[in-house]
Amino acid sequence: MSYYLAVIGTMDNPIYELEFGTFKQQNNGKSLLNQKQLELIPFIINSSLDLIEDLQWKFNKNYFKNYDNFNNNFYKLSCYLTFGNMKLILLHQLDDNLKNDDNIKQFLFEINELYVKTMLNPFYNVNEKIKSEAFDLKVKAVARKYL
Amino acid sequence: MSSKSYKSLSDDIWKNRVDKINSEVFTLTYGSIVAQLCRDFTYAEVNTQLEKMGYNIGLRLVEEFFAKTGLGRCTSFKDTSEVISKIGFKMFLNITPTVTNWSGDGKQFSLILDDNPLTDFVELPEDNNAANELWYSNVLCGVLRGCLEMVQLDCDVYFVSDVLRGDPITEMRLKLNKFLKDEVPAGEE
Amino acid sequence: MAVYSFWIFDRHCNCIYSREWVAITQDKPDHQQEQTQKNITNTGTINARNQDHVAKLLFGAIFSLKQISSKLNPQEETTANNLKSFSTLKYRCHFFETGTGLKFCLLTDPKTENMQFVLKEIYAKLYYEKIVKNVLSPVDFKENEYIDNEVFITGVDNYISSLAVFNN
Repeated sequence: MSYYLAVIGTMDNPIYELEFGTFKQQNNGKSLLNQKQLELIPFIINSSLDLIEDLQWKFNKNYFKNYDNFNNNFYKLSCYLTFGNMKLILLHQLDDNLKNDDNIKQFLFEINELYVKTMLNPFYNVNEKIKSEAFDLKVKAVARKYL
Repeated sequence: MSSKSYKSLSDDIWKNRVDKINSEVFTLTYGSIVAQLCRDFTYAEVNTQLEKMGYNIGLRLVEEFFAKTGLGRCTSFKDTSEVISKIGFKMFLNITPTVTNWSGDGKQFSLILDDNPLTDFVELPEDNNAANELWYSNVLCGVLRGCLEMVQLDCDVYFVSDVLRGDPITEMRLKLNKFLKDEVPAGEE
Repeated sequence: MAVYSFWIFDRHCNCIYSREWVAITQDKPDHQQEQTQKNITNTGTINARNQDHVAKLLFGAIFSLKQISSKLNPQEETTANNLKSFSTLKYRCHFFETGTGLKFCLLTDPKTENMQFVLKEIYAKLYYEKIVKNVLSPVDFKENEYIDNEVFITGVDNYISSLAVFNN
């Protein structure tokens, strides 16, 4: 079970991406995506951005669970839309029927917290790539906790 | 005055006589000042500018200090260090740095800041030598220099280490150069 | 009971503010300068005598007395010996000095009680609020530069006239 987290900016530019696998059931968190699949993922995410933008004006909420899928549910996407119009998108495979919708929601909420803290750094400009190693480590820690 | 009475005085002042501001507003304001300075100047110049700003703040801040505490001048440099750390920092930033590393002649000491409200959520940019050149909280050095100059103490204040740069502690060093003589009216000498 | 005048000297020994409600010595009326429009401030002068020998005499007296009092300290150096007031037959001078070398001086009639708290209030509530917090007023006044901040002047006038002592 692998995941791909992408943080997309207001100009559809990716500012942070991370691929990882599940940490549950003694898996070590390595993603099981092969090279071909990995190349496809950014395109999948990008094409789903329109859907988010439609949904955000229809519904009055900022967390979208499973709003899109690819290849007949092979990949599912969930998104947390921040109030500054940044999209935190998680792409996940469903290899088995683990019910972790709740975990995904909490995971994305925590990533939002980390993102807000990054915004509070005066040296970070909006829509800039997040290059901080501390952020990277914290995201991995949150992933270990929830996924 | 003993150390304990300084602590109770400063707690009382902090609770009752000082206007408070939201710490995030304060941190973000200072952060945007530093970030803008970094865009306009090189890191060495930013340090100088921050120190100058702090100096001008310190010249006036010392009056507020005297107005609120009602203390007079300190009798010794050691006393000064206690007052700065226990009352001064507590009143304005609600932190109490520790005074350590006294030099042999009693004219230099260090202030170790455990947490610094100016640097909440701040990470220095990883490129451009920021970690080697920029002292983010250099305004504090200027403030201390300005305040001490108004009480006739000529001091050098500078940072020795900073957590933002990756060092284990944040340490400022104060060095007393000389006592400035009080001015006498013309013809009095 | 009356308050005669109020003086502020900065740490460079210049008189930066003087306010008189009754002239101390006989003097020529062309010394009088601007008078404000408020009720009690129709009397007296503001910043008229800063360069006068009166100001310098007052400062000199205070300065010398301070030096003498610190030298004649009967106990050891641990407790400071600060000048609080001195009086003569005709007037009593109350004095307050801040840590930054700012000297506040109030001349009243000899029977007045200690006015240290008045001077402290003026420092903390008026001088600090109006002059120090005003970033456009200089920290160090140059020679011949006085405090002419309207808010400060009227504030001091109102405060002193509200005291029980003030009677002119």
